[in-house]
Amino acid sequence: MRLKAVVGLAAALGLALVASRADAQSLLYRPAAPSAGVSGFADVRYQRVDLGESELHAGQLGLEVEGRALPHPQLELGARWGVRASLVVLDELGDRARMGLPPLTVFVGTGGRVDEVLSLGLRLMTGASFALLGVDDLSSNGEHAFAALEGALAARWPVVSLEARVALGVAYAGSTAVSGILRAGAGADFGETTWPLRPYVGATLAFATDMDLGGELLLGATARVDDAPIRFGVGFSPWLDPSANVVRVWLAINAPIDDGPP
Amino acid sequence: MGLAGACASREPCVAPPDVPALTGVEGGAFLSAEGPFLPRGVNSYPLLDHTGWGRFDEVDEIFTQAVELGRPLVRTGAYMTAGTNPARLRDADGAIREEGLEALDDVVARAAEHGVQLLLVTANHWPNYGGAPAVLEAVAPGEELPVEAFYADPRAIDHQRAFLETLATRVNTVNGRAYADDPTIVWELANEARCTNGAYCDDDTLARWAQTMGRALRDAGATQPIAWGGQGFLGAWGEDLERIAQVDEVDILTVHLYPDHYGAQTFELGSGADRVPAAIRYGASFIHDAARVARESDKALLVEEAGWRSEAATRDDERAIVLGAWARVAADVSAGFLPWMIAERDRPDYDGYLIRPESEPRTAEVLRCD
Repeated sequence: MRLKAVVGLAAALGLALVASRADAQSLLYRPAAPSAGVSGFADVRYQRVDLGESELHAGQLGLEVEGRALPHPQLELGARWGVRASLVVLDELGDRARMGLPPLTVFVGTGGRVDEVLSLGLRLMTGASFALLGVDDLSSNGEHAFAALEGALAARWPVVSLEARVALGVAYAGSTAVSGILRAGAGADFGETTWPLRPYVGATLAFATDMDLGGELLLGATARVDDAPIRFGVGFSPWLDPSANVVRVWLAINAPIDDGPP
Repeated sequence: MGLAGACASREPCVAPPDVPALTGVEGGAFLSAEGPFLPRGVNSYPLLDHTGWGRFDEVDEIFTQAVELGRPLVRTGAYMTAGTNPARLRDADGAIREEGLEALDDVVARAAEHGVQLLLVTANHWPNYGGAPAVLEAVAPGEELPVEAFYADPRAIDHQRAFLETLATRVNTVNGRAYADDPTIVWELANEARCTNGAYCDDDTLARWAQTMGRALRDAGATQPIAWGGQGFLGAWGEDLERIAQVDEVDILTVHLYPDHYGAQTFELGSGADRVPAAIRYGASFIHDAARVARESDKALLVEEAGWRSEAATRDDERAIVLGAWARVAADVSAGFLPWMIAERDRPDYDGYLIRPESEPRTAEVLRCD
């Protein structure tokens, strides 16, 4: 398998991003190593839990920035961090608002183009939040730490691009709260790559050892502004997701800082 | 960066509801002298411990808290074995101690004086205050039996049966009431029984044990309801609530909710998304599953332990919503609800779940009013 640097590592790893939390960052771009890039992510979600005679409603907003560098054609280094806000309301019982920092994530990856159609990516990620240090007030009330291995495969043809991804990880939330998580997803962009806007459809299935099965259908589009891909869309949980997600709106923007030598 | 939530948008509830005592279970419904009702309670495990060391003020304080919260069914341990506490009911060699039984008499009598009913846990899977491991060491010294032998080894079974017979046939030395029909007492067989060791466990081991121990209480004359005490799993950790539900001697099925103990409540990797909605959803689903089993078998259901940890400034708001949500789900399926836990005011929070009503007013209001 020959790995080419031209449309290579970062593109494939852009696919690997799809296996990560925002699930929508299958951003295809064309850096050449050594190069660097930055991405921004936003997601807004609505959650609902039917409690019989009452209902719980929750909304969350997450904003994150990711920076990555490719010092070598087959090596990617990066980090990601942000902020999350959450509001939970239980009928007339009251509400709880909270804002904090998600885990600071660092990752290392490899991969690249296999041939003119296929690209492969592999990324090892880990992260920790302030909750791991006992500073709960700075945490977004999510997991304290996690580690994951993601793999992604993309295939590009003139009028359709396909991607598939799988991630296996573990999340830790204090004391004995440890979950194993398996995620698998697939998606497709339709239309000519020269189009300014290409429809996107995807699906993700996930299994967590403490919550069984969850899933999401994704509908959106990928735009390209000054060669920087932007993907946005809406995710729906087709059945009552154990995580209580009902709908999620996300946006991912990728911009190269330095495309590397010509 | 936690932000305090807005005040509850309803009139504050200042007076706890009047809650009758649990007298029986019929057709899956909890009964009081006034008819069907929903028990309201709370956990507090150190009552016998305090009594052994002469800390009677702490015991009274806990009972007063329970009454002020409108939760007069207090779940507490009655199995202390080995150690040095004068209130231990059995020594390390398994011998039953009259001094320990008199301490238990005192706890039961004080509860009655406060208008509190006690859900007495008569065995513990875990080693706290001795528990099943201490009993196994007493009946099989030096054999280092696995904890699952507590439910299957004939020596452990005989020992526990004898212990239950001692309790059920006892007359309280403080107030003269027979344990067997004292309305202060509701029985529980074992806290969080599990059986996963293939050498001792099959699919029916815990159900057989529950039947044996329930029969021991009934044969000794106990007339009060008998609760199971398990976490409510449907096949995990060797507990199958559906099999327990088939045991005639068990009147009350039980569920324990600690989603922040079992996992991270997320399908994502690194998002840091707030776990509260997923945890509430998990608890609601767990309660509904157990309620279905209870309904189908004409048993009553207690959500007899439920806890949520938080070290953030939003702890009170968060607990109020999590526990309040679960309490509502429980009420919706006619299940009693007992959060974990209360204790004396200056007790350290050893496990992160201690509820301090004076510093968690929103949680206290939810527990008082919902």
